Amino acid sequence: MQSPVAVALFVIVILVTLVITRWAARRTHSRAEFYAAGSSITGTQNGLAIAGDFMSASTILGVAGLVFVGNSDAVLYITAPLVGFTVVLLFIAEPLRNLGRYTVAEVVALRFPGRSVRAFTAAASLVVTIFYLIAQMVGAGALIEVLLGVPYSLAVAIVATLMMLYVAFGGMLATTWVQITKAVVLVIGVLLMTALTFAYVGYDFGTLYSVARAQAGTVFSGNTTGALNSLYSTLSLGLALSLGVAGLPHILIRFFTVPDARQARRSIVVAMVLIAVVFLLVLFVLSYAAIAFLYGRPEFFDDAGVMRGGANMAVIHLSRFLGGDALLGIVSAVVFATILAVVAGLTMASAGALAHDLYAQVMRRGSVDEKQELRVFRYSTVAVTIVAVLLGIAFKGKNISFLVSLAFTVAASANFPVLLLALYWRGLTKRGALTGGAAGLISSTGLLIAGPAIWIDILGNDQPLFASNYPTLIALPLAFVTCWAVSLLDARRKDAEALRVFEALELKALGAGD
Amino acid sequence: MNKEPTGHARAQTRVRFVLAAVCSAAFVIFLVLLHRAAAQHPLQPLVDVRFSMLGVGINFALSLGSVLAFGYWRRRQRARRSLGA
Repeated sequence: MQSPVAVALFVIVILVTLVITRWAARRTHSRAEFYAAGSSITGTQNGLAIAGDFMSASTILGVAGLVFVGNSDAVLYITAPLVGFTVVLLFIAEPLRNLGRYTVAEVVALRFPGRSVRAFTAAASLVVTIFYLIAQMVGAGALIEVLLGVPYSLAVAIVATLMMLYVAFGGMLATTWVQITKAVVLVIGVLLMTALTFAYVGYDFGTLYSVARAQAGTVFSGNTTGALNSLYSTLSLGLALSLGVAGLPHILIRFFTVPDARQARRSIVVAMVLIAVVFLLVLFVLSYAAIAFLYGRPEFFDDAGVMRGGANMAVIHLSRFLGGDALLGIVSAVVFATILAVVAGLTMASAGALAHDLYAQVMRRGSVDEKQELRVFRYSTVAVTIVAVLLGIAFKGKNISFLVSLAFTVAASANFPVLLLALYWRGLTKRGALTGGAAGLISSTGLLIAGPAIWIDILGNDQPLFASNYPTLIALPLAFVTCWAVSLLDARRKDAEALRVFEALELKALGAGD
Repeated sequence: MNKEPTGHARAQTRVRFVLAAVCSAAFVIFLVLLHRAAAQHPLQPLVDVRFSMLGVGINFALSLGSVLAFGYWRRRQRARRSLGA
């Protein structure tokens, strides 16, 4: 699959991102600049960066791959995040911007001062970002191995080294501009492929769908299993993919990079529109074009009739079909940029939680100077990189969808309930937040481990302890009910000082005077 | 203590919850319909493109619409307050 154009464009992507990092490093000195780009990013720029941060290669290629093998879950994967971003805008974005400076745990800690809640929120954030990072590294290694013929381990190491350089030297400013660059090239790439697809079918939607339908009727077995097979799984996955967005730390920390709540709101609207355009075109045009054009062409399939590189390569093969090696090179470079942007955001969130929350505030109780904290931030970046490489290599060839669903499930079940209730429910107590968050974290990870994807496929057992791979419909309500019940039973519920803190935060968070 | 800002914050929160409830209800209905379509035949949501497009489109329109409606409501509230001041 190696194309000279692809190799050249990969090198250009690397050079451009390194130039951005060098430029950002000259402007990044203080803690505020490292963690939040000095809150100097505009709403539109941040919207582009959020879109770049959220649209991972595994989502885009994975959705087309799902459609290609006849798995209808693809429709759910596209719809749920769009709903999730509404929840982020209505409930989370503005309070985060008004209350926080660098990390999500910091906002929860304003409601419940002390170390315990902060440590829990930071740890839950780390769990989410590390699992998401492993999934991205495994996907990146496999993709670059196929696209460039580079050995898997080397591909993982290249991606990890680049993400470490962006974050350790350029901080949030470099990460933001890498994400903006990625979002722009991704939108251009998807629009270009869509235009070529329509040109190929004479600008007739009907032709595309009727050819795809005819192909699908002959090649799909019609019994592809997915979440839509049961109502429980459908609702559970839908809940995880929508509310999980509101608990993903690498998305939430982006709201600290804008100067005010107005720009935070604008960010979300821009991000929603961009994500919707890309997702809808991938689902309703490129996926169907892959079915219509690729089936029956032996150059895209091996002797056993399986797509070369797996079904996730459908969009990549489609680019070669539509525009030859030149378009293959461009799309491969776009995918590479996509990977870099997402892993940079994840590393930023992980290193921030380690350095600012766990080291500076929990371990050192805030008695740490800026220089020292930034040094720990850089060490944390290196540590996260090493962990990502080791786990990326250890999980080679594993089904990465369970890692992504684990990240979304934990984000929805542990992070989201605590954050939402801390911002909006005056009755929540510190004990309630801790036990509720722990209930969400333990039940979501426990049920995922007991489910078929891990208990049978990875641990090699015969029968799963929990029948479904999608525990959010149990873990999320459990977290909310535990927060509520423990808070009601807590004698400190009516503590006047705690209520005064909540009311002051409520006014500041919602900018009622704004 | 002046209770007016607290009242504004609470009113805002109520509007946020109402808008989120509308979007969530539409999303859950779509999920149920999606499951029903897949129960008829696993490929149905992909083969019936019009159904999927309509479902995704309505959900996206509601999401974006509620976000814009909230912005509009806030602007009106602000204008009303500044007129009253």
